[in-house]
Amino acid sequence: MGGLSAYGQDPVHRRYTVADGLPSNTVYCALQDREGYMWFGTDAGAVRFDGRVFSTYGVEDGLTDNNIIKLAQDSKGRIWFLTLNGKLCYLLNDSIHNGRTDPELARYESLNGWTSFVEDRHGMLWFGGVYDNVLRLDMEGDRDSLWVFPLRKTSVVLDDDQEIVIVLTGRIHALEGARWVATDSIRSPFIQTDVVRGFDGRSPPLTVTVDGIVALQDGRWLKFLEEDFENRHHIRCWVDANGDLWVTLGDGGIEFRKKTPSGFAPPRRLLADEFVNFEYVDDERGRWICTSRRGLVHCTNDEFQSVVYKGSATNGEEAMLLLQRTRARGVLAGSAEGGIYAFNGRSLARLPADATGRVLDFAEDRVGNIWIASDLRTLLLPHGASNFNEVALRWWGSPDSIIPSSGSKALEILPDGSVWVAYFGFWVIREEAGHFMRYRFPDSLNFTGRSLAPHVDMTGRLWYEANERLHCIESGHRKDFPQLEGLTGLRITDIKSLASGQLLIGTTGAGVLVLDTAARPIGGITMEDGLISNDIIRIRAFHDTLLIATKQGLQVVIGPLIGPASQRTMFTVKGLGTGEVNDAITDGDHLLLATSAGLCSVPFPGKDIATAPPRIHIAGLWLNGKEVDRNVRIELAQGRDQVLITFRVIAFTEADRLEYQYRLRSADDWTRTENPVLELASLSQGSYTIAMRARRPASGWSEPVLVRLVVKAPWWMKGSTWIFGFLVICLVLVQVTRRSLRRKCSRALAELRERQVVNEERTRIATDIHDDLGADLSRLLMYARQAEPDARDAEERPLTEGLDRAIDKMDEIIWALDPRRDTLQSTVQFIEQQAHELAEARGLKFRAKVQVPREPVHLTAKQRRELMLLAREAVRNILDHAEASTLWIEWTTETNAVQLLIRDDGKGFDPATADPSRHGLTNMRIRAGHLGGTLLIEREDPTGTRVHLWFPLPGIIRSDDVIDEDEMQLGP
Amino acid sequence: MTPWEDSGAKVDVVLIEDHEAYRTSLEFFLNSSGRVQCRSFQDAEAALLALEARLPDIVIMDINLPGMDGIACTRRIKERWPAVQVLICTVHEDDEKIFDALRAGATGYILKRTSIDESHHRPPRGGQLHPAQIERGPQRPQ
Repeated sequence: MGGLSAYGQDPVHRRYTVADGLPSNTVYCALQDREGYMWFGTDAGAVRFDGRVFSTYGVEDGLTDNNIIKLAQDSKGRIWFLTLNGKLCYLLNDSIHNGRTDPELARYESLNGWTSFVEDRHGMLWFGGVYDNVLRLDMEGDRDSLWVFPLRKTSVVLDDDQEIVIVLTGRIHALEGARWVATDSIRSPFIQTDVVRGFDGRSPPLTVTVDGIVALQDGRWLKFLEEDFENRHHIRCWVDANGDLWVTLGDGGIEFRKKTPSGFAPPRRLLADEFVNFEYVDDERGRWICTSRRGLVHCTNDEFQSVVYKGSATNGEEAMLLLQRTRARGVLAGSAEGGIYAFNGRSLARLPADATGRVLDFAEDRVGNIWIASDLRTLLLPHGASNFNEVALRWWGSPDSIIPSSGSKALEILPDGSVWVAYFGFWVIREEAGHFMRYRFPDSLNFTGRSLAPHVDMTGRLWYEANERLHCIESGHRKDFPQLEGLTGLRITDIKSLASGQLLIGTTGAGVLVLDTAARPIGGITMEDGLISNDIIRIRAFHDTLLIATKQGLQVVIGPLIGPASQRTMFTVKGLGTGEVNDAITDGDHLLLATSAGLCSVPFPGKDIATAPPRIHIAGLWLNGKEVDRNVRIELAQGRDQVLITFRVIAFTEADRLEYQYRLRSADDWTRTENPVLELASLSQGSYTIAMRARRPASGWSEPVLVRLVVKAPWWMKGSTWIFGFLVICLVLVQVTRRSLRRKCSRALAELRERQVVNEERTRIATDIHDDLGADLSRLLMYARQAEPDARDAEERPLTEGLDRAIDKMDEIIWALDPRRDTLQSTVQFIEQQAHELAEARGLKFRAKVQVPREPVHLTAKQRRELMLLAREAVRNILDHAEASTLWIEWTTETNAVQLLIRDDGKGFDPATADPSRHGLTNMRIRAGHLGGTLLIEREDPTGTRVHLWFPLPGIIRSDDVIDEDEMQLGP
Repeated sequence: MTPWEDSGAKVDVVLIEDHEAYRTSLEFFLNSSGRVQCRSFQDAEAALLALEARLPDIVIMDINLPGMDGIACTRRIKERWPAVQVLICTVHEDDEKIFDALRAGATGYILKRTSIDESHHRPPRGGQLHPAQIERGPQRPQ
């Protein structure tokens, strides 16, 4: 049984070279800036890395040199590139400042390059040159100082008191006033050219001498690590952020000393093929190893501290399938090649047995026999024996015949010592009289399919899967649980019971189910709960720790599997070289993984395994396809503008397992999103503070990155627009109305003026007629009466009668001319008066009924004339032809119309047969037509005639107010 | 027989009329009747001066006069000499000014077309002149 040393112990890593975007495979230094980006200095420029993309900065971008020896960031955020040509330059706010942009920087130059940088507590920046200069740079003032120490190796460091000291060729100097005073000198010949303060923040500045490593403390050199480094050239040392000590070796590789409570663990020589310049631990606990020739090596801390033990198969890697800790043989491992190995903690030993096929299960019985299930055979390693044997089985019922063991998928040993072999159904093996007897269980059951993952729980019940169902055998009989019907269709891969009696069912595709002691499903855990994969290979329970081997790695769960997430800690460990972990066991200090690449020993991670969350930044902000400034508040028009926000997430490990959440307002719940991109098109009106955050499975959420948006209603939906529009419309309406009114007023005014002129003229004519013609006619009448004093008949006094008629006509003309008479009321009054006088003169009774509004209603002079002449014609017809005794005149009004009825009680006539040319009937109809009205002449019953005129008069209203004859003012 | 015919004295009449032909004609016919002593004036101002000298029994007043019109003159006369009877003389009966004159104190109105005899025999239309007062004759101021 030969031992197989562990080999291939280098950490499984991801290597980045020029093929991945590095400008060079010679990497000098590394730095993580405050935003989370990793920076690397190479001999072909500096490069920034966000986990996906390398962005290179070179001389063409403003760097003074492409050889970046050291990177540092000061308290103001400037990233200083310490170059080989010794010219200063830095990056601030995405722009590079150098001697051309800032003449102050051009004043200082170190011929052999700057190698050390420190910022003191006053904000002064200190630079140490390789062989000559120490520079104090005051970026805020003018207290720059440059000390020149020709041909002396210089290092600038902060001592424990945060005071600047320099080391000049091994001599420590402190500044007193303006002079440097030596405080101590290194005693042994030193190897390291510079002095480096450890990155853990606690370790003192170190350098390497031929006698070991010394530390600068209290202005003195103190022994840090005694070791003979003579003849080992090009040695540098530093303590990294994990507190681990690195010593680079001149002939390649490093000596890695893991920090322990008492100091450092024994050295492990790693990376033997590499020439390591530097190593840097980022805030994800990832290690970045800068090599001289082969680019960058990136690995997690766990990976770095893990060791791989590979099997002895010659045809490539030998996948390990299962692990079993045995009382008699220690840890056994079974491989997919049929190899069976014993692991002693430092090496693997292949046991002399050939399982012929995959090793699928181990079982140790109570006497220390170890049973092995493989694809083709069932093997037994008897207690105390050194060789595996194929089990010699005898058939139940014919104990003398030896039968082949056949293959098996799984083994389980019941408390009664019987070995249950799962294959197609179960075989049960019992030892009787020194022989292993086999029989098929149960005889009465006809197993035709597979029976997998058998497991005996605390109560002795055997659980197994067959035909994608969970089954149970208790006390030699199958036991049915109705509630298991619901679990039909599960592809069960492993079954384990806990001390609490709970049963864990590992599945392919459905994670882990949990059943209570009565086989009732009470919960489970899947990827939604943080499980690394839903494809479970094997479950192992160790006290309160569950190891769940999946195709994506090992899930470690500490605490109850179901219940509040806060009560358990979950983290993952990936197998080395592959994500697939087939099995795992732990002793509390280490995890031993069976992986596709072999066995992998990993220090059991502390429970506080959370790493820093990923950093997230805004990568770009596009408004309607156009990039906008991300630092200003963005205003969007509702329903019109589209905004696209892309975020850059800086993550170097598990970048493919990042989770993203966003919310639009701080009061909103977080919403999960697949990608760190938000496309917002239909936001409602309001203010938004859009937040995006990210996490990896084992970290907390990142600090959210915020984008502020204001979505405003489009201008046509704003209240002010509506008000303005309303006002404009009102203004337009007012203007239109004003113009219209003005035009109407102008027209009305013009008409009024015209009418006024006409009226004035009419008044003047009437006055002239009245005053002059009237007086003249009256005078002539006086003379006529004198001339015809005794004439009684009209025929005998033609002068008097003629003048009388002339005066009557003149009266009518004056009345018609007088504009003050242009009303219906005046017309009614005039007609009444004339009719009254005529009737009286002929001895007729006169009756009038007047029902018109008292308020004046305007009539035109033409309307008055037509109305007066029509009425007079009707009255004269009555007086001349009707032989009547009474004359009635009635006026009534209705809405927008007037009616005049003139009737008598005379002999009457038939209008239908009457000669229309007589009695002025035609004239009356014409005048009614001129009034726009209708005229109706008909016989009055029983005697007499009715003349009925209806004509429209807009604006008049119906009047019920009767003004009878007595009320009529007939004039003076 | 009219009240006028019963009186032995002539009735003193002042005629105020701007239409000269009508004024002179009416003055002529009144004076020629023998019962009336008529003085005529072309305007109100001249008539008022004459009234200061001697009050008439009756003033026959045209409404439309140049300068002070007939209504204002009537008001002045009735304020100063309430006993003087004022008759408005007009061509056209439908004249709103007639009402204004009556409100100003005119006793009544006569149409210019009315014959002199008719004027003697019937009281003025619409007037307030009581026959008894006419019969007694106007009261002269003492």
